[in-house]
Amino acid sequence: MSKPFPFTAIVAQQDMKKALLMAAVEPLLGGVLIFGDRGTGKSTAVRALAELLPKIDVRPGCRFNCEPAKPQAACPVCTPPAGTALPKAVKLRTPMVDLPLGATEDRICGALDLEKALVAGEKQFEPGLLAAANRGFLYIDEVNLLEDHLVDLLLDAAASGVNVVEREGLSVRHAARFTLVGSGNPEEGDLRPQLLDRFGLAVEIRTLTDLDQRIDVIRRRDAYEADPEAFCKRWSAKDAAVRSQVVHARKILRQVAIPDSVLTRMSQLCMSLGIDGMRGELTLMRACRAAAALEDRLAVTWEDVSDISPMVLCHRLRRDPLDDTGTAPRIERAVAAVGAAAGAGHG
Amino acid sequence: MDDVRHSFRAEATEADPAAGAWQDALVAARVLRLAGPLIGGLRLKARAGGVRDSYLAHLFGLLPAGTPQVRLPPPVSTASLSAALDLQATVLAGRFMALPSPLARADGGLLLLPMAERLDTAAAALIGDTLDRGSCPADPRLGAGATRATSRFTLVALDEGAEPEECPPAALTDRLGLTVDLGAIPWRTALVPAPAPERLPAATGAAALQEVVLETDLLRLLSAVTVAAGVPSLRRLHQLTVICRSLALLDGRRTATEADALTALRLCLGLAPAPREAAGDDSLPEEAMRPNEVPDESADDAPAPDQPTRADTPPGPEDTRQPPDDPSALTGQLADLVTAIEAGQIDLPPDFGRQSGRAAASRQAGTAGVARKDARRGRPVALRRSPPYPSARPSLIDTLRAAAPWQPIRARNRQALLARAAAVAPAAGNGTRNVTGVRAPSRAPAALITRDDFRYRSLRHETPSTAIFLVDASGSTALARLGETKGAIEQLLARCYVRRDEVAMIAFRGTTAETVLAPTRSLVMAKRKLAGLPGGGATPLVCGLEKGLELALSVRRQGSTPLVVLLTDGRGNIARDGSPDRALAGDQLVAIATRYRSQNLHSLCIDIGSRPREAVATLAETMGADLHFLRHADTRIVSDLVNAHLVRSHQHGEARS
Repeated sequence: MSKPFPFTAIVAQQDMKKALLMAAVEPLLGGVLIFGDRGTGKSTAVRALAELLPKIDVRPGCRFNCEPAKPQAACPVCTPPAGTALPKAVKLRTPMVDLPLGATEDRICGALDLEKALVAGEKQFEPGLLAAANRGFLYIDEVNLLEDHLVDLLLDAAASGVNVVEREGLSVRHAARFTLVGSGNPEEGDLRPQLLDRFGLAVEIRTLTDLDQRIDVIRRRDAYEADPEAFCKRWSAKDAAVRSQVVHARKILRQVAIPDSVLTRMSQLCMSLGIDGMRGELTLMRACRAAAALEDRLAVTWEDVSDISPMVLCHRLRRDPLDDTGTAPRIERAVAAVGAAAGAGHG
Repeated sequence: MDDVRHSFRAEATEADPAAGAWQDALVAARVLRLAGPLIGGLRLKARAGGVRDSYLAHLFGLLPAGTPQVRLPPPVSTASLSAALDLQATVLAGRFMALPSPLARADGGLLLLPMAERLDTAAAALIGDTLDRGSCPADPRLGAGATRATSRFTLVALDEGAEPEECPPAALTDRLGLTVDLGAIPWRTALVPAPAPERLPAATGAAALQEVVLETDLLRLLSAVTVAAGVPSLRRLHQLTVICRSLALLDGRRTATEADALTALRLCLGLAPAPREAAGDDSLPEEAMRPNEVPDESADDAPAPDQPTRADTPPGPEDTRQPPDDPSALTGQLADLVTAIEAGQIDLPPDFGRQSGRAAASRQAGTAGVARKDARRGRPVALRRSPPYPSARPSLIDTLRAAAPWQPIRARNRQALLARAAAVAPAAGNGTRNVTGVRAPSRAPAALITRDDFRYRSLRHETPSTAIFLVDASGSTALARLGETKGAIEQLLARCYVRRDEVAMIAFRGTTAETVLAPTRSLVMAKRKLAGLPGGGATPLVCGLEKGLELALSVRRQGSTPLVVLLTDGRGNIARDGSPDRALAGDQLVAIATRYRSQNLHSLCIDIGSRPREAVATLAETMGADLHFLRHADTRIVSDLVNAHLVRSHQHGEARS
């Protein structure tokens, strides 16, 4: 199994890369939705991201990705019977779990471990994909084709950060805090608003039409396929730079301040666009913080807001099917209006 | 050789299109052998039969001996693609042992996917993911280390689709670099023994291909062609470059030429310069010719003397021919192809890029049945103790689950029975059988399952509905009407995603009817398709109804419930053949409307004339449609009306299930 294509070697698609990095810095953001045509590098980017991220501490054999300091009751490895020694924590790659479209409920939530039940007569829980994705990413390709009953499961777990299993005489709760990453082709249908709303950021990407960029993509792909190892090595320095950028951003994230003036204008922006609920503002605030931290700044500026607001707000706008202008221009207009009213440039 | 192959093809198309297609298919097979996993694989469009068998035999013959070939079982599902329980090994070992999935077994070889047009999206996504990553998910029970198993294979998707809506999911077709259509090839052409597998380059794979030089200019042109043809996908462009390089390598060259590029375009996208060129030669004066004809002609002109003989011989022997000394002879063909495409002079093959996306979008996974409580697919709703339909098989996992809690009790019971039997046996003088009828087994079974434990999964499949708008785009009010209808469609789509309903639109005006919007539930798609639609002209109501009927029946075949919404303000004045014969049109109208009724299609007739007309009422009566009057086709009212009908059909479906 060869290494995935390096993250930094992906040509252009800045919005997508930025959104993914922001989600990696701030898990509370609620994930990223990437909508775009086929062959635009959506899944390549997501798979590359997993390779790029810093490793996490886990005890070997733990299938719930417990934090070593906070063992979960459901995990037999991290809460061993009295008298047994705890295994020492090791560093593992951040989980990037693929959720296949045809997954069953059992596979996602976990179920009774049949082997143990039949052979040993023990009632034990076999963790599912949600447990595997804890403290990492859950990636759903073609998210708009996912069956409704599976979407329901995901929504609940993603909202609460806990997976509750009550079946077959099992009663298990375990942490399922993951960043949801979805990708899909908008021509195959839309998402339910509930699911759409769960994603903190949404980016729409298009196929590159710039000739030089297209040729760059092909050249890099060729080089990668001819010798993946060497290619990844060539890009490893750049990947490492981005990795340390993410690590640093995570460290300073809580120190990033948002001036009151910017905060006020954020609220004005959301109000002027008629965004339902508070989630838009909250996400906008978190996203701006993550963006500032990625650039090693300790204060959010109005520029951050105007950069990021399309990603955060586009998919939250009420849809008016008869309005032909896209949602992005509407947001840009609103940002400009709010900025002008408050005297832009002071944020 | 490639320019030979190209001109050969040009001649062949002229004389015998099938021969050209067959030659192309053979070239595709060699490219597949060389670049297999790099271009995903091959979409083989053909019905089962001698031609396909002959082609597959040729394809397998090219592969080195010992290459794994895995043929998937026809109803390919995610379950059949994942690792299975190895019963024997499991019983022997006393713990779960898995058989590797077919995807993993095909590693390094060929995976044959029969009936690809029936593939459901979930399975397609799994195969596509494996193609992308060169690895497939392993069974998690095999241990934490083996989360993915290496699997790089070449996929051969056998596509037997006959109707336009029967095509493999776009997630799969987009990843297959080569498309071969054997549909037009007669048996006698395929009977001619394929040129013996000529020498193939010893070195295959990415590194060898990488050594073939592909000039940046050529790459630019290729990119321009794909963009012009409406296939901007970078995956396609990459496949094209790999095919180009393979063609050069097959030819023993170190540089890919423009002729390679043209062949690659034909093999990958089915794009070729306009085929009329040669025929047009004598009839058209030089200056009236299309730009793309000129270079072709010049290419053909140079080796003119030996042309006829070449047309008869397969391209194999020509392999040793050098590429033309003067590269400029070919220069510009690609550029001209771009111009021709942009000018709309070339009919793009209807079956790639966007179109396949649309066709795939319009279908749900699989195609069968209506909402029934004994649905054989869909969302599992409940477990039952009795089979939902006679041939149902128990769900193994649920049965075991039901049995699991009872095991200790049953084991104790069994022990007790055996102990009692052992106590009685000596007295009865019978070693193995006793009064309780319990035979002492040689060893204890692993699990005790009784008839009570059997569980069956009952599924519920909610069938979506499709609203088909038939819009009268004739006359003076056409523009307003069309605009309102488009608005209604978009509003419907914006609110019916929850039920996963689809919307389609057919407009009729002038002499024909056209499908403006194929069934979709994507608002994005609808907006793209509905932008800019002309109106005005006569009223070919018959054509409109006929097209609507076809679409409705095809929608029904796909397992969705059609609702036909006809918006008109009068009677048709154009007959089926496009002639302005009112009387004939009237007769045909009655005939087609009667078919609506006999097919039991749920339909809705909206009279949008300024005053109600008898003709529309009669038509609605004949069709068995609900009639509504609307002075103006108000967007909101139309969308509410249709929505109400869709909801009703859903409730009807629920009640049935």
